[in-house]
Amino acid sequence: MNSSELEKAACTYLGFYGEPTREMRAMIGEGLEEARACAHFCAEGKVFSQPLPFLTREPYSSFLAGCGAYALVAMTLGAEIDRRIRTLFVRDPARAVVLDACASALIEAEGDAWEERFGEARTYRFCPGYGGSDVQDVKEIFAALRPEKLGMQLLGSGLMVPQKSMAGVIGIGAKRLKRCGDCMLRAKCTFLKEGTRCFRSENN
Amino acid sequence: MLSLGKQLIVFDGGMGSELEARGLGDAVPEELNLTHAETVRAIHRAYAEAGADVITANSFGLNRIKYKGKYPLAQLARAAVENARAAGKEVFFDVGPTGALLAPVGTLTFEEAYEAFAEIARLTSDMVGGYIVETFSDLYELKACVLALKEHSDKPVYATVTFDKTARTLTGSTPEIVAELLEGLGVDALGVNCSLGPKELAPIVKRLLAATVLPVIVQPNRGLPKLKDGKTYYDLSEEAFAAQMQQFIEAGVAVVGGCCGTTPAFIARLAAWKGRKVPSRTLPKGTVICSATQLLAIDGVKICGERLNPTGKKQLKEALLREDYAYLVGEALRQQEAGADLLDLNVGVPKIDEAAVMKRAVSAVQEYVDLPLQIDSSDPAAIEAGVRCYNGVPLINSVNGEEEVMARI
Repeated sequence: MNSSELEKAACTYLGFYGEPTREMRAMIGEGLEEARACAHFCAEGKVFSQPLPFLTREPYSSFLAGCGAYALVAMTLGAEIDRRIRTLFVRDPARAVVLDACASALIEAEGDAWEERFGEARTYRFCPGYGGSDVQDVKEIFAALRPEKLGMQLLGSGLMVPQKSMAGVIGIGAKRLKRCGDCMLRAKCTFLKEGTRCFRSENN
Repeated sequence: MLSLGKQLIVFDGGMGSELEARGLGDAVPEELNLTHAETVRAIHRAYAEAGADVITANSFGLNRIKYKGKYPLAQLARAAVENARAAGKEVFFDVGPTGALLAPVGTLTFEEAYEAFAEIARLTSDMVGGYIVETFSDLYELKACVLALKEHSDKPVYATVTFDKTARTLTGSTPEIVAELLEGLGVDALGVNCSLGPKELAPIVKRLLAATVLPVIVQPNRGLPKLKDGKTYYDLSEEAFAAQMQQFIEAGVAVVGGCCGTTPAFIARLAAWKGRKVPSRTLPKGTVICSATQLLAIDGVKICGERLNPTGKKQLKEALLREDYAYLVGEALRQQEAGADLLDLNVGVPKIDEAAVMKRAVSAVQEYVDLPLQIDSSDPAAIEAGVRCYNGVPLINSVNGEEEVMARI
């Protein structure tokens, strides 16, 4: 993802609709620079040909329809950026919120680039919590991948630490891009109302 | 008897990869000590026959936080050691991390981690020749582990850490910081394991050799892992592995072995240099302190922020009395922004429990500020409390220079 796409994604995470002001763009630019400097992206994945039990349930089974294999993935930006965001919240909350959004944009972008290794014919990354799925399903991914060696940990509540972490499933063999139809929030979606999207597509 | 630091010592190679090759890759490795004891013994024997001086027990995940299976820890620990002993060589207990992140990033406390490792030491100290702490990637957890082992056993402790290709641990410590901490904790040997293959570790090994005169250990993976059909594998040749290890040995590395993907054949290559004289190294002596992520060599004038000292500071005194640690963090951050190289921390106010407050103050400040600290007190208990929970190697202040006083501290 190039800088302007990252900036757009950061705006989305900030809940900022419409054209950003010059000041906003400057803050986001600094936030992205800082995020890049203290993020240490690492990821782990495993390819399976048979779905694990939790993936035979909805919404996963519809999502993976037509795929001959699938990958479970876990990724993180590391502990340092978490710490930097936390510290910044004490010193400068406005910058902290921006850094937090930039870090979210960064991990999504790094994750998308890393996933290219699974080939062109693949779905987007479907994380527990999407489409009405149970956030607690992330436990299944952790059990399969054991991503502790990446410095990731799952707390009892289901929260991953470091906070800039993701875990999900990718279907291999069928291309599937993010679309509003898959989302449970579409009825109240502000992005849709504005004529835009929360994700990168041909429309925005 | 091992001739650590004088003659090259050869450790064994990967256990996980050997178990996987025998179709046991899906089991909990430590439980195999009971359910497949003969297989585990056979692997240990193969490494011994290949020439390893030390056999590492199959005990990497054995601590109460990582291991949640059905067997008692004590039973697995004993079985692991007995299986390793069957190979007829010196046995070291392998101590791996808890798999949990320490607070503030995660929820495991320093004390909980310490207790988990202390339990292992209590269970095994009279059974083993020593401990090898491996694959740690967080300095605070490493400190909890080594401190627990040193305080519950008088056996040798070797410690190796994993680094990424930017030469930092997962939580941002450099080889110099790791060496500084481990030296301060009194380990017998230190170094790097896992992480990367031998070639990729070269810059890290060079830095370790320049950072400490303690014997250095290197146990790389069999190169970088590759992915095929969803499975990870290693394919670095024995020759390439051995060639790089030879360079390390010539540069002064004192202990060699292998990690993921290595086999008895790889260890046999290393054993060709067994007993070789370890070249002695001298390094210039300097004063170095560090936080988990910042090293400071006191090699010139450095700026020490003194605003966290309650003498003559009414607001700070009041903040300490009401235990308002956010105030201290604010002061610490302001001093960092103003350009301090290190920060003095003194919580000496009458009528407070200075040791307890010092501990909480250090924990709060180090959560947000990564400058090295100077623990400042005239009360030895408070100094100890601060130094013990500090994630790094601090300076100590307010000890007067008399030998007797220094010795007590």
